This record gives sequence, structure tokens and C-alpha cells, in this order.
Amino acid sequence: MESLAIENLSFTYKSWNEKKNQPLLEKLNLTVLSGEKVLILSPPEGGKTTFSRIINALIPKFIDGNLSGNIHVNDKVLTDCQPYDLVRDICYVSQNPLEMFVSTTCENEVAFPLESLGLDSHCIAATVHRVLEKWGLLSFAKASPFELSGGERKRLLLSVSSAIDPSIFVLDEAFDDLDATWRNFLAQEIKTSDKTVITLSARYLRQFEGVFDKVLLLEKGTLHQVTEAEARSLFTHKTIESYLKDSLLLHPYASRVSAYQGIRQEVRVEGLLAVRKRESIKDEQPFVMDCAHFAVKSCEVVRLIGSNGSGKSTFSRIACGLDSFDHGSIFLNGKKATDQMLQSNVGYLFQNPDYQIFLPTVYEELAWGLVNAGTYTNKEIREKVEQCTALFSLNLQETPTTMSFALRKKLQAAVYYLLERPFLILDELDGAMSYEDAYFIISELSKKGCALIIITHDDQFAQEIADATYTVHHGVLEVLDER
Amino acid sequence: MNVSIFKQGKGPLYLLDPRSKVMLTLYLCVYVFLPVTFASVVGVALFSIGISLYSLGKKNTLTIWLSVLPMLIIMLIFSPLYERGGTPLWMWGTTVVLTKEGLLQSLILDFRFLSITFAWSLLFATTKMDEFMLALQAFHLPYKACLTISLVFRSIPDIFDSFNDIIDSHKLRRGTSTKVQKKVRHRLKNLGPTLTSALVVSLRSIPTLAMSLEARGYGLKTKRSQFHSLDSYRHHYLYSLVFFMIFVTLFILFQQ
Repeated sequence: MESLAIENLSFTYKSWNEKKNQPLLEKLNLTVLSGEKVLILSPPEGGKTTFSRIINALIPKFIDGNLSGNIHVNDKVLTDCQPYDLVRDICYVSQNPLEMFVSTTCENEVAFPLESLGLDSHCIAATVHRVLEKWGLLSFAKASPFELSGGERKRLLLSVSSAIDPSIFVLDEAFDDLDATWRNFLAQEIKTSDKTVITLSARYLRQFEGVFDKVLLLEKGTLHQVTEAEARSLFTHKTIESYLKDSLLLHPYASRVSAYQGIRQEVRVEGLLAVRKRESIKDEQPFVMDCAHFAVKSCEVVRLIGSNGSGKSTFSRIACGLDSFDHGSIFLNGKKATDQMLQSNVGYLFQNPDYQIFLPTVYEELAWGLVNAGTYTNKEIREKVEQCTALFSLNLQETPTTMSFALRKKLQAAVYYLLERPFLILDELDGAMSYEDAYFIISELSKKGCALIIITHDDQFAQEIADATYTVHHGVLEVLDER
Repeated sequence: MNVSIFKQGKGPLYLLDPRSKVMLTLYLCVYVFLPVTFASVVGVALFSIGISLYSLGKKNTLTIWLSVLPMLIIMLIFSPLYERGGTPLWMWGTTVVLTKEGLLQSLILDFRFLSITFAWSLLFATTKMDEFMLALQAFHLPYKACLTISLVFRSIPDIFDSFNDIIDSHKLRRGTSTKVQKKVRHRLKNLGPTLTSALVVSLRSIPTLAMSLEARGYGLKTKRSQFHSLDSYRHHYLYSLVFFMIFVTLFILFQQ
């Protein structure tokens, strides 16, 4: 029996200016059998999210566009259905969990669709308990989803889909933000499930091995099947040399720093202790961030790894002067640093780019920091921005809010490229981005002698170029490996 | 991080039936507008602040107070200008600027405003959103209206957080700002892009929130069930009646 049947699907987003948009999906055909596990790989901007939303009847209902073709979900004609008619048939796990939350507590978030289905309260309570326990969130049942870490939020979305238990799961970059343990767990869940699962990703992760029945490539608006070996060769992490051709990052730290002409700088953290309490639930023990020693110097690449909710983002916010701490000191070039000193020297690419880009055009977004610096003429700003957009393959007049998640992350990186901060924290830069793009950004930033702190859940990403690796476990930050 | 209007705290307000709390809040709001003595309006305001200090703590109480402080100052400065009759306290040449009655009137307005602010803040800070929704449904408000109210209150801290994130982002991008940035003109200038950004983030969340609601079955014809209920609360009619009697007694004692 067919779970999903698509014939000649074409889709073009509505244009909001004179320029006509190109079709994002064109004469796309797909048949997914009941219980089949399908992996759809596509580079960023390939149309993964749009495709996911279309088969969930969310587009063009909520985002305007021109849709044609026939789509059947469990023999239901999609164009005759509203999204709520398909609750038991298909469920979509969004790439960005924050945009999906409707409730103020985790348990209510899971309960919401079950209430819509009219289940009785005992059944809802049992399901909520079961799925929250399964996804390791039972202790956060009464907490607000907004208080969770990125990976925990993703697990909450997966809990919601588990609770609904539809016949088709659509997982849009669901592995992103999850740490290795939960990635393995999700892969195992997909493999052992008797439901139809469609997973969309920009990378072929180690966890995908042997999980899927079919691997498809979404390219130029259409799908074609590839073998697992082909998918691996196109979308998996290759040798570091293939990404960083002729880059200084391939050389040892000593030779990189000796080639660097600029001022050598250092950020050092000593005996840092920060206590954080959740507001929505009474924690038995508040979260404590503890870092005895951390140091990063110009031209250095440092990896920061740790499980979901371990404190990576908490540390990052403190290190760039956004959040306060209770004990300890942060030194910038030997001097005790104030918040303002850190803010001016340590850049931070948030995990979610939407909190950092908000102006109407790419040009304005990139120029904002330079205008505020007050040291450049308009002509200089224009030149710098144009060079930067050419380098990062961005379109000056494009509207950031309509760009894909990966492209928004690229824009976020371009903003800091122009600001020339000596230290930069990249919080899950590789999430939803191709390895090529992520390494390109690292390479360009390092050319300026910038010290990079790379936060990642990918055990391969940046491993070979890292001069040191720090780990965070239950708030305790320690050095794991130093070259 | 301000993640929810609900705050963990202590005290009987957390144990009280949400329906009774809604009634108590309404009684208090009506009472401060009745023709009662100035002292009793001040008393109600101070009582609300006292309850807030006990239930929510100093920090949260101060946050509530600071959020309405600009409005209190504006009311205190401008409202006496509209009440010039009575005993003059301050004259500008031959023009009466401030009278005793005008000052009293603006103080009454300020204390009324404080009472209402603290009453509603206490209601939302001590009541979980799902229980507040159930309380509204108990008063026969349609589910759609309750959900709308719930989403609004879910969105307030969300937008507030977005606003703070945007400010943080701007701080990091602004760079080596020194004394110049502290000037009011520059701060106001910087407020423009921050507010615009917050508005963009909020507007962008509308279609995605609508998507999320429908993808989770909102709109289905099936009768919606309830995960939570107010069954564990008892005697809400009795409490509501007791509160009503208290305010009636206060009115009899302190009416002008």
C-alpha cells in the first residue's frame, strides 16, 4: 500500500516584487510505500522544508505560492484536505522547534494534539508520561519549552510526533541539534518503527548507515534515487583537505601564528562559576556552570562538545559578555575583562540565526554593524559589503526572512566576517549547513587571525583542525584534548 | 530569561482555585473605582504589593513596579493639571499649577493603577496558563477565545525574549561603544532597529504558529478533550462568596 504518492509536483513561491520567482520544485514524482524509510538529501536551499510543508498541507495554505500536481497521503487527496484532517496520517517535525511551540509547558505541548483528537484525560496523561520519558524530558514536564536547550527542544518536538503516532513521519533536519546519544536513539527508532518515515537532511550522517530503504537526492526541484554509497560520497564528511584546499588551517598552530601579522590576543577564563535557576519549575538543584580554566588565542581553533543541555550555550553567553557569572574571572589579553570589553571582542553566532538577523535586506544587515562602528565612509561600507556578499555568495537585495535557514546562518557568519572580531564563537554552525559551506566560513574567518570556538554535535566536524577540544558535561567544562 | 508569565513562588494564592482568583481580581478592580476613601485605596494597593512580596519575592515585585513606573510618573505629573479647583499648593504667577485636590486625585489614580497592575500580575504569576484557560471556560467563554488569550499570554514573554535577544545581538555587533552610546539620543536611535526587529520576529511567527496549531489538529470537528481539570480544587463558590462579602464590608466601612 502506498503511504505517499506524488505526481508532477511543481511549486513556486509568490513573488513580492517585480522579479518572478523560479520554481523551487518542478515535476517532482515520488512514491513511498507503507512502512518504508526514505532519506531525502539536498543541499541547503534545495527545497526540503518547502517539500515537507507541502505534503503536510501547510503550503500554500499559510505561505502563498503556485502549486500544481497530484499528492495522495494514505489515499487522501491532499488538495481536498486541511492540515488538521491529516493529523493521524502525517506529522511534521520542523527544523526550527521554536516556531512550532504553542503551549507554556512541555506536558501541555505534547497534550495539545491529543486534546484535539478528543482522547480522554487518562489516556493523554499516560501518553504524555510515556513519550516524555522516552525522549528524556520527564523532569522537564512542567518546564517551559523556551527554557530548554536546542537539543531538548528538538526532542520535545519528536515527543509530540511520538504522541500523535501518525502513519507517516516527516523529519526535517531532525538530527540537527541532537547530541550523538540522541542521534543514535533517533536512528534506531526510525529503523525499528513500522511506520513510514521521510527524513530530510543536508548531510549524510554516520547514524544514517543501514537505516533507510531508499535514498533520494532533491536536486534542481526534482527527486532521483541514489545508492547509499553515492549519497555518502556526496553528502558525508570527506577528508579535511578536500574542504580546506591550501588553507592555513591545515598547518600546525605554530606555523599559523608565525604567519599571522596582526596583534596576538588571548581570552582566558579562570575559576568561573555561574548558577542558573529555571523560572517555570522548582529545580531541586539549580544548573551550575563550572569552568576551572579555558583559554583561546588568535589563530587558534577550539572545539566545544557536550550533550544537549550540558551548558555550551550558557558558557558562550558568559564568554561574550552577555550574561553574568557568580565567581571567577575572564581575562582579555591579561586584563580582567568587563562585559563591554568582551562584547566588543568576542562575537557569538547564535544557534538560531533568527535572533541575529532582522533587517529588511541583506545589504542593510551587513552594513548595520559597520555604520554603527562610525569609522567608515558610506563608500567604504558599500565596498566592504559588496565584497563580502560576493565572497559568501549572497544576494544584496534579498530579504533575510525569506531566505532558507542555512542561508540565514551564512548571512549571520558574513555579518561577523565584516565586523572582524578577534574571537568568535560558532554555536552549531554546521547545523543544516553543508560541510562545504561550514568549512568555507571557518576558513575565511581564520584568514583574519580570528580565534574560533566551534560548538558542534558532529564528532567529525572540525575535529582535524582543532588545536584543542573542550568538553562540557553537566555544566563542568574541561579540556579533553590538546594538540 | 523571562520564559513565562507564571512564576514559581509560595503562599495561599498558589493553592487557591483559579476561578476564585479571577473573581477576587475582578472584585478588587471594581472596588478601587467605587467612591471609597483615599486611605482604603492606598490600603488595597499596599495589600496587593505585600501579597506580591510574599508570594513572588522582592525581585519579581520590583520588576512589576518598574514596568509601570513611567506610567505612574506621567500620571502624577500631568493629571493635577486637569484638576485646578480647590486649595492652591503651587502657583506660577497668577496661574494655579497644583492644588491639594488635584494632587489627591492624581495620587488616587496612581494607587488605583498600582492595585490593578499588581492584582492582574499576581493572578497570572500564580496561575498556570492551562488552569487560567479552564477558569475562563468555567465562565462559559468559548474555547477559541480562551486559546486566543492563552496564546497572547504565551507570546508576551516570547516577544520579550526575542526583544532581549535582539538587544544582545545588537550589543555584540555594535562593538567598541563607549560614552557616546550612553547618550540618550544614541540610545533612542538604537531603539529603532531593535523595535523593528522585534516586530519582524513577531510578525514572522504568525503564519508558523497558525501552521503549528492546524498541524496539531486545531480545527478538527471532534469535540476537544481536556488534559487538565479543576476538579482538585474545592469550594470555589464559597471562596468567591467570601471574597465578595469582604469587599462589600470594606465598601460599607470606607465609603465616602
